[in-house]
Amino acid sequence: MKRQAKIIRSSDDGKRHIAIDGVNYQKILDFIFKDERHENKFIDVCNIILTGLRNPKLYDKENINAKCKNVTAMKFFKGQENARIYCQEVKQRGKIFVVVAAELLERKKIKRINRKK
Amino acid sequence: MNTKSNNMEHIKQAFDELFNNRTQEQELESDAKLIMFRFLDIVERKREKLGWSRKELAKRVGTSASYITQLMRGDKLINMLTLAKMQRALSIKFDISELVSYKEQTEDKKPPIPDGKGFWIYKKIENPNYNEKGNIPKVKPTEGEAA
Repeated sequence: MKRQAKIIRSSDDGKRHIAIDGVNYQKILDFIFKDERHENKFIDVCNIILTGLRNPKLYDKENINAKCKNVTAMKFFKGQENARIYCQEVKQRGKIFVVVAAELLERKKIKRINRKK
Repeated sequence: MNTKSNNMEHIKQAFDELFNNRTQEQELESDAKLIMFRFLDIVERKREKLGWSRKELAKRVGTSASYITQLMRGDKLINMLTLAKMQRALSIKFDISELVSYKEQTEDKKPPIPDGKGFWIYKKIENPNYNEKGNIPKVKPTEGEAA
């Protein structure tokens, strides 16, 4: 099913964009605009994406299973609330790169117990 | 239909306000973090290439892994001494250059114009000498103009 998204920010050269999903936008907006702390973190993540820098602590691929392709996550306050906005990376006309912020997870908890019994 | 397009406009407007209504202090802080992230991008790539963990890097730099994590998250700003230590530990040299904006790179360039034989690219001349005679190319008129 195709979903609409709105581009909210683009790089200076117009080759990278950040878009917000048209279905879940209200949840995402409420989360980002919660307070200055959230707004500032979102701006940091956007800057990283638009300049094409690598920073796995703020934005990285999420290889949960083979089904999720090109799924990435914007990471907010790891080690604290550990909130995430899951994104889909889309390439248009070969070169144009769009990151669509699609799904919000306000608290990510570790499901597996790593310690051996 | 209208409500949907209104919602989409609402999204754009909200984010325009977020990005454009920032104080100078907030903008400077973002700029400072972005400069640091540029350095850390190089550090991160080199660390992975060497197969070091962040703990290993921290040990070699003489700091803690949690401090490096705080830098990566943008919770703290790096100092020049730590940067110099990273440079030495990773055996790299940071190269500093001015980033020319896309606007600056392209503002003098005009789109090429075809005349049927080839393409003409016009360049902006700051102080043109109007007495100098040159070969002015004839642009082939399009169908609409010819009529």
